Amino acid sequence: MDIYLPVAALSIDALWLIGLGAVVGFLSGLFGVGGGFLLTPLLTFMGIPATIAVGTQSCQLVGTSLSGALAHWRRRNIDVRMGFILTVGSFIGTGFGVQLFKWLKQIGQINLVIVLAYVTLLSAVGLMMFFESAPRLLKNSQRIRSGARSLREEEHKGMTQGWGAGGSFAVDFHVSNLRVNVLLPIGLGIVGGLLVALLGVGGGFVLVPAMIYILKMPPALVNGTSLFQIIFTTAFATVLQAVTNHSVDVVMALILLLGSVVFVPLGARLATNLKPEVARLLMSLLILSVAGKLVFDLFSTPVHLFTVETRGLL
Amino acid sequence: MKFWSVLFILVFGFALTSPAQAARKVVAANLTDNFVGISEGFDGAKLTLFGVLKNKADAIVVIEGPPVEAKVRTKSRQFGIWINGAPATLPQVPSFYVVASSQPVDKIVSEETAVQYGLDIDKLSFAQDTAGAGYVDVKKDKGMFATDPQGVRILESSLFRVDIRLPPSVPIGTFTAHIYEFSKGVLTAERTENFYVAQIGLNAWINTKANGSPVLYALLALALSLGIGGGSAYLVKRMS
Repeated sequence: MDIYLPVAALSIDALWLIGLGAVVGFLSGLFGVGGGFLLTPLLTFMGIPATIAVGTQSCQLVGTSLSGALAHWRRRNIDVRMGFILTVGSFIGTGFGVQLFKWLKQIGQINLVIVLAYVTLLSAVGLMMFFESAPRLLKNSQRIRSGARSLREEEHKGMTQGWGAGGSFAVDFHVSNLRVNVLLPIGLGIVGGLLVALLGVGGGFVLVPAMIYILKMPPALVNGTSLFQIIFTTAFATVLQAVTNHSVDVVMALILLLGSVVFVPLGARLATNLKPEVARLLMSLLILSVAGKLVFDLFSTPVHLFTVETRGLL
Repeated sequence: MKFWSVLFILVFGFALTSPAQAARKVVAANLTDNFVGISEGFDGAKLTLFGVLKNKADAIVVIEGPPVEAKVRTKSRQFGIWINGAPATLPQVPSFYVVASSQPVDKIVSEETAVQYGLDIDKLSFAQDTAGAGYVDVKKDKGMFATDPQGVRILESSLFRVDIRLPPSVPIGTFTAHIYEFSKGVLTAERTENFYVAQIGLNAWINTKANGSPVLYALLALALSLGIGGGSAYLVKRMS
């Protein structure tokens, strides 16, 4: 069943798009990550230009992150104040990132930068997940349980003093029970915004660990707060990408979104029957194989030694 | 009287001295469609051109897509990976170029004539440098530049038919079909027919909005995305 994508100006099998959305949605449900970092490379493997994939993803992520954030909202797992401060930073990062994207597109290096950034991120995340989950599968998981207990105990010791808690930019986050220099979440937001603008990912897989280890937020609030912030960041990125780079294909975004929202709950249901270590090991293998394919393509001789970019004259 | 005889000699003489010019006629030909609309399920299109040839003549049909400006970058290996170099700009090149003929072009006309009328896609005027040749190479791979030596089918003694296949990612704009009739290697008749390719319906609307009012377009896309995301969250909650 072919469908014509009006902005990308190409025809693609809709079942492939729905299938891809479904796979990514299933994985997000299963592993609790956005899955955007798999979608952009997979779309380019299907022949969608990387620029269109990135722009369109931001639009699709608005819906996915809203759907995820609503579930966290009901469980009161969102620190709204922290979310808005992260958003301040991420708007700066997105604004800068979209201009950088435009400039890289003009000098013809956007694809290379996207691929290199993906290879770096996917390898780092994939290897981290692999070396964290593989030994645990072999050993007794005693250590993790005791680790979780100590984190929970820490939450009751009074307000956590984050980095720069005594300085003049210190801000209290009552929901997170945390005092931290406001420049830190803004800085993290800038990184997140850059990831959305340049790579079309929500950035959760970078922000979530950073919010736990750098901001010292309680882990229970991190996923929800990250998703909450991603709604605004991806919405802003969608507008900027549409205006600056004309790279948002609404038809593609909605098809991917439909495929994904249906399969998120299924993944989430399966997740309860799957050992977390097994899930993370499988995920790390998937991430590493996508990174491997990207690296292989970088080094192998291309079919064409030429890249052509055309502009209509009439 | 003298005036009339001079004029007669001039006119008649001119006709005699350039027989090819005088003999060149118009091929009788017609397209089955002049418009190709790209709708939601578009996966390529086929147009048919019918025409009539003189006895024992050959036909070559050149289908040319709307002109575009192309930036061609040559990749080179640096630090082991393939990186785009600085671009060469081709100011005006056809986005689509298919040469269909009743037998291989080199059997119909001399190489010189083939170059003159643009019947050899590897010898087009812009394709002589690295960038131009690279452009043709990439376009050939996408099915946008092609040669089809059996593309013109002679149905009966003089009736011919050309099936023009447009790929799913066909460029948008005005296309021309140049029909050339060659007899013993000499051009004896020609004709130009036009057809148009455009997005229609919802596609056209989306594309106009995306390019004409991108802010409104983005807000609309956001509303739909939020609607689907929020709606699905609601449904999941209701079902569980």
